[in-house]
Amino acid sequence: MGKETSIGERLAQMLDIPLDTTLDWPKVELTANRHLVIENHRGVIEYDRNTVRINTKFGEVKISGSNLSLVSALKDEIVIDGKINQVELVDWR
Amino acid sequence: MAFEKIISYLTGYVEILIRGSQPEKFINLVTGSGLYLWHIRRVAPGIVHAKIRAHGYLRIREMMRRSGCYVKIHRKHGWPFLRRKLAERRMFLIGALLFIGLIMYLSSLVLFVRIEGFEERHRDKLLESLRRAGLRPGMTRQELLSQKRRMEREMMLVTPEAVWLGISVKGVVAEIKAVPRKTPALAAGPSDLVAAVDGVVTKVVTIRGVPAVREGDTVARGDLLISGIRWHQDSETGAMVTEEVPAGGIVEARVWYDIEVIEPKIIWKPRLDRQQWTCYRLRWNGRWIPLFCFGKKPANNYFWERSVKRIYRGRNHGQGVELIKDSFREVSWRQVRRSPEEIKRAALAETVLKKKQLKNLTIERQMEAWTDEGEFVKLITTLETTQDIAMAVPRRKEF
Repeated sequence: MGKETSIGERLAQMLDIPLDTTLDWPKVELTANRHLVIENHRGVIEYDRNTVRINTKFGEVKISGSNLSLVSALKDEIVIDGKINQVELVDWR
Repeated sequence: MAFEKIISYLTGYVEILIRGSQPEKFINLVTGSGLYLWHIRRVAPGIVHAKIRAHGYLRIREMMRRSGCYVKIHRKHGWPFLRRKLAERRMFLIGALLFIGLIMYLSSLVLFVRIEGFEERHRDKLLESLRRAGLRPGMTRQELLSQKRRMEREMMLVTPEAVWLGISVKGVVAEIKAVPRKTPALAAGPSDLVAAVDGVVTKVVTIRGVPAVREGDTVARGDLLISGIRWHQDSETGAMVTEEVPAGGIVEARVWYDIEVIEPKIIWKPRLDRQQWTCYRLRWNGRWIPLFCFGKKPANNYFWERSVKRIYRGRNHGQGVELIKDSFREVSWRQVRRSPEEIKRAALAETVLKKKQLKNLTIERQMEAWTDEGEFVKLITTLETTQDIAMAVPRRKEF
């Protein structure tokens, strides 16, 4: 599979600037299996106590677990709490 | 998060229940418009519970329509709602303010008087004396604190059973701490009084027993002063018989104490190098964090100085951060011959220090004797005093 890199990405890498801030790339931060933060998301696709699906620029992030709740939801950041069993990247390009 | 909670409380927030087939769409529309949603939980199929700020709730009508969801307020929280509620219940507000005022007023009073360290039989008398001095439950703390010294002085005068008496205020309790006077208990069995130190007897007062010395006698340590026997007439035979008793009395004598100080004429004196090695470090919770060092490190024979600066901890528990500065300076030792004035000054200073160890002595006369002993100078200071030299010991059988 060929590696495709945009001019912006190359420029950001050259200047050592974080890609999530410059190119609006999603950033997923998992703390143990209890706390997950997704930055630069594009909305909630599905929310259930056992499944949360979040849309991003590259595809869908599917979080499976139990007793899941959205601790806070902002325009560019979502915080999920609960017992997380699986984090899946669905249809990522 | 705590900051967000405070802001939410001040601006007011509501708990909402979102019903509909697409609550996710509603959440996306709300967050997309810049509003803040938190604590989103699915409580039942088709029902999502969330929290939103009060001013945000006023803007979600359009989003409800677009997502096809129905939103209902579950609960209201925060200062704006509380203020409105309080405005409606004026009597409750007045009652709460009166209650706080009453608590503040009562906490400014002394409500209880507690006595510590005093025997039960003397307590009533002490309480009565305290009442006369002005200390009673119901007086203000401010009044007590302003008159504390006067009360303590008055109480000391009227309470001979206490050697010390202090008043402290802890909350609404005035605590009186008293140190009771301890009177020496009588010896359990027959005893004699003997001399505790050498001296010349100046006064003999016999309470029990027979005196063995007179005024003007010279006694050595351990000599008998008052013997623990008592003569009395036998009621049946009429003959004089002896009985062993615990001897009691006062035997004062002129006593001398010698303080000997030897000062060398030549001493070793340190000379500190001008160059020094200084190190700054931080200490926190037992951990050392080196910051920076400069200067020349001394090889050996160094003078070490440490200064510690602490941040004011206030009421916080635990160790704070300390800034530690260590300075090392090389030391070279050299011999110095002291002048007679220097030797005299040092000897007198040491004599004063040694004199402080002889506590409770009223010195009546003081004599100094200087002697030159080659490389040393000796000073013998003789202190003359009058004191009670009687010491109780178990009765001697051979007397």
